[in-house]
Amino acid sequence: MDYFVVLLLFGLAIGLVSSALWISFLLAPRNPGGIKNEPYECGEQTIGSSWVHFNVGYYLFALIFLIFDVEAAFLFPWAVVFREVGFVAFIEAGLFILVLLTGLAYAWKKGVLEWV
Amino acid sequence: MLMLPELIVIAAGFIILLLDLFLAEEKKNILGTLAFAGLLIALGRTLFSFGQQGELFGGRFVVDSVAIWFKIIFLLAGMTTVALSWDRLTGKTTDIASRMKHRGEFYTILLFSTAGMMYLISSRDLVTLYISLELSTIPLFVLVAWDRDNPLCGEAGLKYVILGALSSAVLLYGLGILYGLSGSTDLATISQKITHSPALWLSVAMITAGIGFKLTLVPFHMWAADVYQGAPTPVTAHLSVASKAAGMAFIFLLFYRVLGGAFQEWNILFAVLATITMTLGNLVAIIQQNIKRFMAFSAISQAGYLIMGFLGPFPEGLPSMLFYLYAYIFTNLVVFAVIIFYANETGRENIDDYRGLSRTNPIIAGAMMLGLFSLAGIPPLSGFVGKFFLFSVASKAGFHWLVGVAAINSTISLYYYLRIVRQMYIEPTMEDATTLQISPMLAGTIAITTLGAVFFGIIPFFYETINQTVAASDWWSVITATAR
Repeated sequence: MDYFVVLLLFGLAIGLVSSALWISFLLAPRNPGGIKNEPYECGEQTIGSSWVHFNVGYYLFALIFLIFDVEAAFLFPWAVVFREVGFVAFIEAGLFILVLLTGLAYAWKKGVLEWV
Repeated sequence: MLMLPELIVIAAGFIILLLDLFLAEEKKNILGTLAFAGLLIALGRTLFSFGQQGELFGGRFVVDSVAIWFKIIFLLAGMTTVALSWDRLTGKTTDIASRMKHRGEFYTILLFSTAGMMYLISSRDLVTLYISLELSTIPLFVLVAWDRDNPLCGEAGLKYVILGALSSAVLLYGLGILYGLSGSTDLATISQKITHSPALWLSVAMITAGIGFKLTLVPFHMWAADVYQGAPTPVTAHLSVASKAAGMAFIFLLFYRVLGGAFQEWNILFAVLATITMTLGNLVAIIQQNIKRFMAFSAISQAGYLIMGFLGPFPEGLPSMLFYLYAYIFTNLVVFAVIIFYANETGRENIDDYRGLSRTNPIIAGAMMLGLFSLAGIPPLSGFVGKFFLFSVASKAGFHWLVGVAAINSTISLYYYLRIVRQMYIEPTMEDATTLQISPMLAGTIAITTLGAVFFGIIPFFYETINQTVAASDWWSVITATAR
């Protein structure tokens, strides 16, 4: 019986979502048309294609940023307790930075850091 | 020193990545040699550490003989993949479309994936287990989508990554419930604290679904055919062998070792999964035209046989499963080596295209025939011996009907494996067929894997060694402790 509540919640969750979908399916008016297929049906008229290409460089920069972001998140706690954890942790942190530096060297050499 | 093989593999990966940046294009052949050498040294170190047991990081990383047997599988699979992809990465194939680029990254990613699998079998903690599973899977997503200019390959990569992420999420939920039930991420503690409850069933169902994806158990096999067909063929070979072995390692750790006592009562789940997996795999394989799709369904049915080793925790189960895994990787790699050879030279991948291969290249066709017969389970090849042990495990666990189904399935599989043999030996030769030149790398791979597929079954030494070393390991005591 411990699990009856779980079952109840399970049923309730499914019931709620499916009934909401079902009611909107029943009530919603349907007037298909060309305007409905516009990217922004209720807003501005789009000018040109909405399939704009973003420069792939943004994604690469985000990835590189992520490396250093995570690196900092790991290194702060280590720096705080640096005196207590001693030399072994220093070596370990050095290895960690080395791995990340390899990634940076790879990105650098591949020309990711150049903005084109 | 226990972690040395993993560290060698990872270090080789980093060295290759850095060397790739600074080497001139014509000198990059050394990268493949390095990758192979790194895996070979790690293999030597692993073999050398037989009989050693020990743990690191407070029991989070354990080396025992079972772990060593699995690591040898992963390393062998990695080495074979390096050998199989050699001609494609060095641009020596006659068929230009099957050449692959970016070899430095290819080897690095392959080595990282192998290292992840090696960590997986040594993990004794839910978190490390999951992380190493991801370390082995995420590189595979990249490898599958390697040929990014080929739409089929991109589609395969996308399907694999989306379904892989989904299955990984389901698996993580299952592991989370397991943690919630036991209050510990340590596998030994979980095995002591776990009790029967509906939540445990839910957790096991989720873990089975998540790992069933990797093992291509029906009904979690949907991705297999498209991904196997779209991926570059050396990667397909790697997927069908190493990825499957990693899934077996995961199931072994969680279900066999940790939940062994609780598992015995509902192994009917695995019996049913094995039945539908081998039956559907076999039936759908019959109608396939593309040989890579065909091998995908063949691999699905083989997974069905493989999980029969988990039907009951008793001393024969694990050695039988390991032995069949070895027999399976050797035989499967024979077949894939021939497929890669044929695609490299002609660019053809359909079953009909193999007609007359026995007259243009009799030795290679003979190796392919041996491989297919071993997959079908014809004595005295290793596939037969492996199946024999697995079937005996199933009958010992009381699933006599499953043995019957499996025997019928073996017969069905013989039919479709013989389809290829018929194309090679009976059908008329292709109009433009000439004797194809085989590169030394592929010839060596085919020779070694064929020898493995044949002698693994004939010489009882292998099964006995597996049986003895595994029995000497601590796994049985863990399970009996849980059962009490």
